[in-house]
Amino acid sequence: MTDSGVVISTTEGFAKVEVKCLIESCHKCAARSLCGPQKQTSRGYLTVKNPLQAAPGDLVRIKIPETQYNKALILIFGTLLLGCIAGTSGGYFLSSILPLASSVLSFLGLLLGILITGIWLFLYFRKKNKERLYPIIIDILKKGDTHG
Amino acid sequence: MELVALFISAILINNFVLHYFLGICPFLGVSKKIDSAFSMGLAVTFVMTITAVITWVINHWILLPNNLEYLQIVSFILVIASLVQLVEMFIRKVSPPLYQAMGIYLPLITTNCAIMGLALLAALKNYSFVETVVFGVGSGIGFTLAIILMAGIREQLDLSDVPEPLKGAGIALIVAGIMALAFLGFSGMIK
Repeated sequence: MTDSGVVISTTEGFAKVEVKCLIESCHKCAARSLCGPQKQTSRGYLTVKNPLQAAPGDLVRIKIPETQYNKALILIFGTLLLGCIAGTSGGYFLSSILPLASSVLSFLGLLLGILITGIWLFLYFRKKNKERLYPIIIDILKKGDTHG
Repeated sequence: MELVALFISAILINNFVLHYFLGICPFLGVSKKIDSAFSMGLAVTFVMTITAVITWVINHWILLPNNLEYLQIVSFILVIASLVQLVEMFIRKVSPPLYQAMGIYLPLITTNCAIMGLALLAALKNYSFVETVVFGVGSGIGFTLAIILMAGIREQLDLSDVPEPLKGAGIALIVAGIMALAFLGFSGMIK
């Protein structure tokens, strides 16, 4: 999926781009009159990777890594769900050994499962997936005024 | 064996989308591609499981011992609203670009009326803790199954010659109705 927007500012390797895609799709949405975010903002801002060295004012085309988003969501919620099930099962089976009610141990197991998988996900995304999920500038459609 | 029956029943027979008609908003809104339908289904399954567990704990450890059953709906709403915030905060911390792309959309989609329906239904049927977990996971998988099937059909529909007035929501609702009829066939499977 691609979209276009204007570069607002740049930092090392990244650019902040103002996009209209969210608002344009809002116009087609039946729930627009009830939607809070639509009322509060008229512009969307994205931090994107800037390999083409676009400058502020440039109209750029950006590629949204939709597949990566889906993979990330599957990883996040799949892992958390597995943590839930493993923790609950562990607690339930421990109740035959420990002198506590199975519901208490299962609940504690579930919380522990979520905590462990949550920490693992946090560390995993910090190390391996840091930049993969950012949209990327793939084309400069129109140069802005800041170019010499 | 009862747990297996409950699990299968939650997936196929008492499917939240196709039997109770709950969670129709994400069912129609996020069922255009199989990839996104699967990821959304997993997200809903996780939220359903957590909601089922936390509402069970609140119901059985706080409300029922103190004769406060009339606070069920209010407290469940509070739990679900807190879950929205927690999911949002977690996504923001774990992956800022994902949060930036999805915004409030993800927690709003994952926290729908099916979640509230699950909490109330589990309380109404007075399930044990393990039964509640199985019911939550099964219901989530049932939701995922329904949304993936719908996405598969809609991907095929994009290539079909659908009459102009039926394009979009019209044909999607007709397909959902036919799917619900088809799932009625499972109703005699477990007694």
